[in-house]
Amino acid sequence: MTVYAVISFAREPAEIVTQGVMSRDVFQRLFLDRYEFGGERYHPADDWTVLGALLAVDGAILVTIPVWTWTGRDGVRRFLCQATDDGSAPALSVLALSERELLNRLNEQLRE
Amino acid sequence: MHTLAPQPSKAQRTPSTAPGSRRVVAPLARDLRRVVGNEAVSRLMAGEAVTEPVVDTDGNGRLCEAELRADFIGPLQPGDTRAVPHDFVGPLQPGIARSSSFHPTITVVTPGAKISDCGGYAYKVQWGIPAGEAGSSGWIVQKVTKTFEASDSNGNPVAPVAFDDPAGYPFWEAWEFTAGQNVWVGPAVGGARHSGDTFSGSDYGPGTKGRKTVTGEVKGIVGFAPPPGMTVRNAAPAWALPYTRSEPAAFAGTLGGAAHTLTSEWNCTPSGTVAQATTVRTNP
Repeated sequence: MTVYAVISFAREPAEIVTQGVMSRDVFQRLFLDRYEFGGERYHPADDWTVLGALLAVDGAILVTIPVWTWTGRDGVRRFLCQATDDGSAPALSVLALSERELLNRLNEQLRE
Repeated sequence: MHTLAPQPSKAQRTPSTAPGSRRVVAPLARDLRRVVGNEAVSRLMAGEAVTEPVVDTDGNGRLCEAELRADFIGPLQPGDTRAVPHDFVGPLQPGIARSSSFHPTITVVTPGAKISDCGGYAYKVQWGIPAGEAGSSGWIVQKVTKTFEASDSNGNPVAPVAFDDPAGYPFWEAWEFTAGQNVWVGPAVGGARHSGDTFSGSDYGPGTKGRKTVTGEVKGIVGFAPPPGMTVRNAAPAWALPYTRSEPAAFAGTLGGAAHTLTSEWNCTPSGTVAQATTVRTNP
């Protein structure tokens, strides 16, 4: 079975804030395959902190992706679940303006 | 600065590429000047063979462009102007306008290199704002085009993956810049500093050979604003950048940009052999 969970470090002790089951195809595409691009991916701003992490497991394969947060120049916080920006796996990249929106979008992408 | 990737250095700007040459025989000097440049036409009119690329990629002027370089020789069409880049220093001569565009600096972050034997590559550059534009704000806009050709061991065409399909090109993508020579990933309000523009491509596997060329034309455009429909999708190809398939008017109407190109070639035929592992040529 292929499963995932998002762990929040914002509370003591850390807690799972969402979890679910995903298909192997989605796991392969979002976590194991390279992605192509001719542009640029997000980067956290200078004041970033790591808010939590996404863990996904398919058999013996475990993938972890950090959840970053920072405040934009407009004073609005950003929430980003993404690990790489060089084309190497994992491809997953979700940006949101609230923690709730981030979790909703993650669930949408992972459960599709 | 904390980023998800490192960022080294090296700088330069680019001339146009030469995708092959041929003798030009058409006598329409004015239009030819717009396509191949004044020097080439002068040589043509003198009876010399012209071996310049037929399509100008260095911004010397295109058939539909409203701004032509100040040294362009020949009559202008209605609406055309001779112009100098926005960062031109010195007094303007009568009849010469100052364009809103300039060439950003280009620093190679990750030199173009193969990531696999059969077509995979990666290449990363970083834009910069020249000192003369330190007080300006606007957007760096890049037009990206691609050519693709590949075949199998029997000479049959190999279809491109969606990302390599020329039907998905050209597209335009953009980075905002603000006073102080700051360049941002997409809109400046996001607070994410520009790290680099990456061209990456995938592997086509054993039993294939081919060639892919990615061409970027990049301009800094003072006062630019992404038009409606030029939006961030956070998906390939542009990811965090505003993206559109329709040419922004401010891009079409300004002096040409700097060139940014990559060509990768490979030959993994017959299947099970690697006659030529992926080679990558870039400019810069």
